[in-house]
Amino acid sequence: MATPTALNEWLDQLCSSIIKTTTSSKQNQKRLQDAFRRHVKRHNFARTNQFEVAERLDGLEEKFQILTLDNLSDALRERRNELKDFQNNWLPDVLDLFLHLSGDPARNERLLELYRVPPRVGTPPPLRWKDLLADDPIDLHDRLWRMPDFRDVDDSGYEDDDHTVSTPSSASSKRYVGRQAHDSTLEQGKLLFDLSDKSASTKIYTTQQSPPAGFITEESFIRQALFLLQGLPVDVFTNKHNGYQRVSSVAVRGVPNTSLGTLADQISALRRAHDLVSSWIDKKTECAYIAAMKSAAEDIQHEYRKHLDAMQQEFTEPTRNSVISAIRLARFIDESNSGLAAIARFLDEVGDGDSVVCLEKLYDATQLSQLSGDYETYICLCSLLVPSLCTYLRPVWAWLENGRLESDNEAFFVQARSSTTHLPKLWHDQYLLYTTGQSRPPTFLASTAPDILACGKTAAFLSQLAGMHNKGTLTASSLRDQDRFLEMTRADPNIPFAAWFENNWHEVVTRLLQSKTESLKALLSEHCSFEETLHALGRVYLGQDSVLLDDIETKLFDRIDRCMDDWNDRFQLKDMLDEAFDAQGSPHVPNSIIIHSAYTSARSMHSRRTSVKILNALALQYVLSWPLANIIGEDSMTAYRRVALLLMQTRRAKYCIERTGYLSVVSVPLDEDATPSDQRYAQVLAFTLLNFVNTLYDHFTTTTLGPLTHSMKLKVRDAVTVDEMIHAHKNYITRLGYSCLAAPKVKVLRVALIALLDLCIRFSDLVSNAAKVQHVDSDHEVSSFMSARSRNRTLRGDQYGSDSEDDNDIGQTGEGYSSFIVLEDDTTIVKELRKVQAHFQKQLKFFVAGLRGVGRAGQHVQDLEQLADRLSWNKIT
Amino acid sequence: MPSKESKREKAKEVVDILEEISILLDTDLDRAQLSLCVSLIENGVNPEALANAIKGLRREVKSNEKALQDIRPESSMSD
Repeated sequence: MATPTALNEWLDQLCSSIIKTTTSSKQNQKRLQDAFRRHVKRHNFARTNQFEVAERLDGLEEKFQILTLDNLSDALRERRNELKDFQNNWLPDVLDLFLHLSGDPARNERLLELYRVPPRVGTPPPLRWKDLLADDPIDLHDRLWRMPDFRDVDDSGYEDDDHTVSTPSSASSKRYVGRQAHDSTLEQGKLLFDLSDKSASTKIYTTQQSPPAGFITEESFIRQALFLLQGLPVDVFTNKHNGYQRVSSVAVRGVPNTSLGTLADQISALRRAHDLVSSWIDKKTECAYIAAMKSAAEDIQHEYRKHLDAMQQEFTEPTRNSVISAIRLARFIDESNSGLAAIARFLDEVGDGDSVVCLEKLYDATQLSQLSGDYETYICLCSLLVPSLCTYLRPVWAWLENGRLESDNEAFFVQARSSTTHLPKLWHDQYLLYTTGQSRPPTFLASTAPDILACGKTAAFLSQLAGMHNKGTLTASSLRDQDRFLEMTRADPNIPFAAWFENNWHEVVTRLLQSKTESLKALLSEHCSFEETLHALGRVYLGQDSVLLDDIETKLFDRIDRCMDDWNDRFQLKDMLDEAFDAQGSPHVPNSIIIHSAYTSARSMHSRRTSVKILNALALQYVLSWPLANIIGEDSMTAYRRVALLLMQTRRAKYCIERTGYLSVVSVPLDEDATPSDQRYAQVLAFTLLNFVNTLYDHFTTTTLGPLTHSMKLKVRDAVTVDEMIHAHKNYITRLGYSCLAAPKVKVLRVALIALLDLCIRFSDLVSNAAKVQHVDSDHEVSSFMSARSRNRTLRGDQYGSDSEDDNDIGQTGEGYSSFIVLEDDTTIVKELRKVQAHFQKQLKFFVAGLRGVGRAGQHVQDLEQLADRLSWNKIT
Repeated sequence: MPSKESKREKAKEVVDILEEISILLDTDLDRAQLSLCVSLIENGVNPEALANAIKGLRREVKSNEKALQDIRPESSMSD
């Protein structure tokens, strides 16, 4: 402990050093010293808290770091750490003194002043090159010190490098702040940047202001290439209309021009691919599967950018093992190029094509890449194709399973014609398959598009038929799950993707179609009575139930022969039908029949009944339920009615000959002048006509209708799709129309047949009631002498009052058999019969010839030739 | 004596380090003043009181210098 005297002396010295005596008088100096002593000795301050001092110094260091005065902070910390080695109790007090005396060290940085401080005792001087060379001189002529020459050829653009040895310059060596020796080569007070200073590394990224010409370093070229790939403008590459190109005046030291050109082309291509993909991704789209495609492309682009960032990182912060060179850059481009380049190639092919073209091109590109063995490109394109395809197929699955269409999806190739559903036209007219335009199916689905349409229509049909929404069950398929789909494409690269996908898809669609059709057929059979309806159509239209028809038509033809104008009255006919079907045990069938009657002819009943054409005024319409109306169309029903009419006309002719003509010639003399040979002649003619009619009817029913109907039912039962069912029935109807001469194309033959049938009626009229006017029997009323008006008046008065057709009623109303023939004076019945025969032969000859001609012409009418053969055997001798 | 020599060297080294810290903290103390301060503190002088005294002294000196500078231009002008 020093004496007070020593303390005072120190205090005076300190005070003097601060006052600087030259500037102040002694009196003043004395005063200041006294005050100084007083302030030092007399105080109320507490003792120094060393922990507080340490905290304040730590806070100061943090403050320097925050203010980016890292050097100051590091210097302070370094010296504090050095002080820890010295065990002195008064050190915290000294530091406390410094803290109290501290001005503004952050602003008044005094690092430079540390240079003026003499080096500490024992600090070794910095190592200098001349000291090393003095100690261990190097051989400058040793090959080790020569600069290697990487040139392949001696290009004229290269400078001639002298193989000189460059010794490290002492000026470039690191200088430690605050501890350097006084080096004559170093300027005092000049601070050199420490290369480990991170702030200095930003200078690496600055580009030159003007386009370079001549040589640039490899590092500079790589840097600019990386900038270009990041989308920044650079000087070494210029943007022309067809992409980026290297400035031709630029060469890279150490890289041959040809190699440089190739590398520059690769860089330009990669940048172009990146720009193309970016612009495509940025374009807005409302198409869901294109959006999925873009999302997958965005992932690939993201991976590329990560890779580029890693390359950038490797360049800016090279590690011990990394080498930044043009070769490394070329390898990076090779690694990055496959994905983006593949996408850019297929986008080039798409051009301005629509969404479907885009999907088709992607599919083709994927297939091609696999077939050419480019597995990397194949994997990359698969990652785009699979999500897009799964999104595209989503509405297709909904359509296949439930027959449901999304209202706002215009990309699907099946669309509804209208928002409302007309159930009888559900199958034919409700849905439309687009084959052209933006909604068309892609080429790889085009072959299955008709099956897809049929399957969806079947599902929709089922939904409507079941009366509730057909939720269906999710079809298990690897094509449905995106992850599984992707996994399957990569499972075995040797399996052709296109073949695998198309086979799987075809199998799924076919299986669905079959199952849906089976379900529909079962529903049609159980709930819609499809087989029963076909049978009913046969009974109503095709004369399959002769007992039923006989019952109805006997009454009908009788009404015609009685010249009743209301012979085709709907209500009476309805009663006849009800009665007849009820007797056959099918009372429900007439509920589906609508009777159409026409009263259009102005001719009298007497003249109308002489032809089978009178039956045109009657038609039966069998009303099908809407499910069956989809299978059996309206045109088929029309054909049924046409066939039914012809059959009825044939039966009419047969009825006339059997009931009237034949009986008359067998039992009643023709007239009073008729000889036995005349009678015999009339009988033979009757046989001939009857034979003709029977042959004809037998051909229509037994030879044609029976086998065709049986074949049709088998085909309908075995049909795999609804279209096949419809086609089978339509085919059947077509053949029926030709075979029964009901088709429009064989109208000529039908007309000839009608004429023949009319001749049969004529014959019956001749032989049954032919008489001269003067030989009228008063027991028979001759309706030809009654005016049509009076007859009709009488009819209307009674038809709603009575349904019975007793003879008494007929006698009272004045109706009777009106098949009276009034012969001219110069003719006889026999002569008329001979005329009938002549006409019949002529017409038959024409008819048979026509049958043969038509029969040989087409494949559906071969049985007409058979009919012609049978009819030609019918000769009148 | 080696121990005295090493003690001196250590003391000198400590003062060197303290001088550098003093420069970094912008205390405006030269080496001589620093040595005197260290001696005073070693002998029990309170550092905060010492610091206040130094600061007060500096203020006085500065104000006196300023007063002297104000007087001198007037005297030159009168001449």
